[in-house]
Amino acid sequence: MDFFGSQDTRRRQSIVLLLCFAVAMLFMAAVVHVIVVLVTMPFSSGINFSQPTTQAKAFIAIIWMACLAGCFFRILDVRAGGATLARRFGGIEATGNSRFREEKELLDIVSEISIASACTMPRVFLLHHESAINAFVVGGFTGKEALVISKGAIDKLNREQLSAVVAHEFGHIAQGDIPVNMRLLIALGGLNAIDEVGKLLMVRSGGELVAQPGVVVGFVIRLIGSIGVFFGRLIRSAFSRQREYLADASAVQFTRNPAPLASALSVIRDQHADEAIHSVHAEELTHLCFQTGEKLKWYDKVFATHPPIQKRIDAIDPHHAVKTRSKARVAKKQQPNLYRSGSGASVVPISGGTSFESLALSDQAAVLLGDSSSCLAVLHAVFVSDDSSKSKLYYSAIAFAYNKIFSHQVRDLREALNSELHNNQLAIIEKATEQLRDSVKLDNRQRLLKSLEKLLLVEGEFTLMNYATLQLIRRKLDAEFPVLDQKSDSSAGVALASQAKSFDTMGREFALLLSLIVESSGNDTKKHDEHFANALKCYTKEHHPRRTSEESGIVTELEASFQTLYVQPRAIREAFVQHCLEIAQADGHIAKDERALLNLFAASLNCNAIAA
Amino acid sequence: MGVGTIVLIVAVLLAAYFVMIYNRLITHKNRFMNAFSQIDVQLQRRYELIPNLVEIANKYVTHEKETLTAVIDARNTASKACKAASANPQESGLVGALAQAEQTLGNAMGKFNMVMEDYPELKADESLRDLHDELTSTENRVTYARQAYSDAVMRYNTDREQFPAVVVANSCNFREADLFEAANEDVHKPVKVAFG
Repeated sequence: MDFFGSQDTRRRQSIVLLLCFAVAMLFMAAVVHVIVVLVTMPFSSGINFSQPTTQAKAFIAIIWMACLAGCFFRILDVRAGGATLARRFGGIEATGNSRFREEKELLDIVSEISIASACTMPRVFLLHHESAINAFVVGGFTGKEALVISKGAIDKLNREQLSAVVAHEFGHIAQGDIPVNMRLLIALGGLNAIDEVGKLLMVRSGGELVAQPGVVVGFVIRLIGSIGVFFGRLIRSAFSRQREYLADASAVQFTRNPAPLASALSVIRDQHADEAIHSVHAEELTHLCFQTGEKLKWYDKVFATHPPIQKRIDAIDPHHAVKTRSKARVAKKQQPNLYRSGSGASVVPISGGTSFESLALSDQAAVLLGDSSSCLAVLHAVFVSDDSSKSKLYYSAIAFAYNKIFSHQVRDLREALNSELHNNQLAIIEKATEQLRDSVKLDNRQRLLKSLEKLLLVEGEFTLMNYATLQLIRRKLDAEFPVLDQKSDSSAGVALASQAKSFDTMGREFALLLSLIVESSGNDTKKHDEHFANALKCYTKEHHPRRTSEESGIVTELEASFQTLYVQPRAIREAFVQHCLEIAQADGHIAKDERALLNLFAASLNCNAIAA
Repeated sequence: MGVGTIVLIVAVLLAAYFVMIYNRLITHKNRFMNAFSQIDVQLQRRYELIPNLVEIANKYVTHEKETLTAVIDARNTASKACKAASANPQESGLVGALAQAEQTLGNAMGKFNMVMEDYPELKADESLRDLHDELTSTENRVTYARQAYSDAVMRYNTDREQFPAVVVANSCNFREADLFEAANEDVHKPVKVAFG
């Protein structure tokens, strides 16, 4: 992050926003004038904007008096200084002689950063009852700042992350945000007061909506007030968002290390949504906080005082997610014992994270697969079900599609290579496709795949494993990708491939893929749910139920998901497949199903580098 | 309005501009001097902590006593250099000498920490651990202070070298400030590690 340059641009934008605020206030004055003159028209002889009647003058005076009074009370609040404000929000001052080691460490951090930022050390307050991660600075007009930090921040962040959060708050101090913020607060207080006076007048004049003069006056005043509050909030929010980026840039300047700030933000992103700040004064504080809860609706976005976390992380360190993941990968590679092969027959031992062993065929299989026709047969044999009624149906379908002899050949091969087909399916497919790729022309290979697909549909719907295997064969045969007939439009809610969706909105797709990979990793349903929830958090804020491969229509939906994810940037796809690989490896080995799924994901998302 | 009046007005404006630039330079200069005094304060704190640390270690360490004396020697040299530099931070060369002494002290402390690893009972000592924590924090502070100093020097130097200011700076003897860096080229060479 180029923090000096970044600070310069942000500062310019902030000046523009402050000008906007001034212009908005002038605009407000004009609006008040025009409305009042129009409303008092019945009492005067005509419309005269330059010389309003006495009533109009009184009216305008009331409004501005209300505004000034509101400002005055806010000024008193702010005058009292940071420490008083901090105490009012429930902060307890942290002192060096506390018995908690963390408190001592926090004070150390604060004094370190105050040196880095060349600011005087503020008083430090702790919110003991807050479990969320948050921090803010309150202060008067000159100095007297107080830094308030929630207990959650101290518990959940490590020393470096905490330093980064503290440095962000010091960024606000060093950039002179505190007086500006306080002034914005005062101006908003004044505008709010107009609204309050209007409310008061309406209530005093009796609740009924009769055309009493008091109600009319109150209504007009409220109208003016709410217009003011609306514009005031709008500008405050935009202003505050810019200052957040500026403070982030300063934080990086002070610590000279963007990674902890980015990771602190990602910790906040991953915490539970209900852990927002609970103080009664929360609404007043939003534009001061380190980060507020994520909001989704558009009008919330307009009023949000903070930029979305992901945008902040991207601005600080665009490759944060990828870096963390690759770091984790390196750390894992250094403990090779984790991947000792299990003893089960279906376990494929792996080493070094991605390369697979034991692809050798037995002699018997090598001899049997000597010619093209047996290779062709074995590709059919791969799909023979263990269920005898289903396999009978399958054999007869083959006999119908080709002839009886071929059907027998498939059956013979199936019996001869029974164990190999179960344990070493990949090697067999590899061998068969290699031979066919050289000896059969492309259109015939396409035709072969088509007929295989039709044969599989005889058994009913695709099972997930059949689909994965079919896609693998398709890839190995260099045949064209998605051939599945256009069924995706039948299932509602499935994304169309042509729409490039933004990252946040793909929770559904990620959820589907993650639940499949989690499910294939073992038999414990409870563990599945836990793993799934953890993994999904990395990709989306939304909640999605875990899916199972037994659901009908899962394959079509999967196909649609692939199409959606396929158009995403390569980095995202690779990170996702890597993540799946990590999930599959979590229990120390990669089972056959897991491996088939991983292959499918990697191939479908075009991440061949990671695919085995 | 005569020509004389116009000349007078222009002269007054120029003088005001000159004073403005001069004051700005003074502000920047004081900022970086202040930043330097911060380094100074933190370094002094560190020099106070080190003898205490060595004293406690002395109770446990039986061999490699020379590491301890090396630390103390380096500390004394650095302490002297720090005093000389803080007396006159604008004198170039003094800051460089201090940076070099700091480098030596840093190396000695590195060796000391390695020796500490050999004595588990030393590491378990409660008061030593507190001291060590404090020393770590102080070292962080030194780093941050140096960083703040570099930032302040950069602002000052940039301001000093820009066009209208450079005229004022040269005529009023605003010299270019040193960054906190070792003057000797040796420290920029990669450190050799030998396993004996």
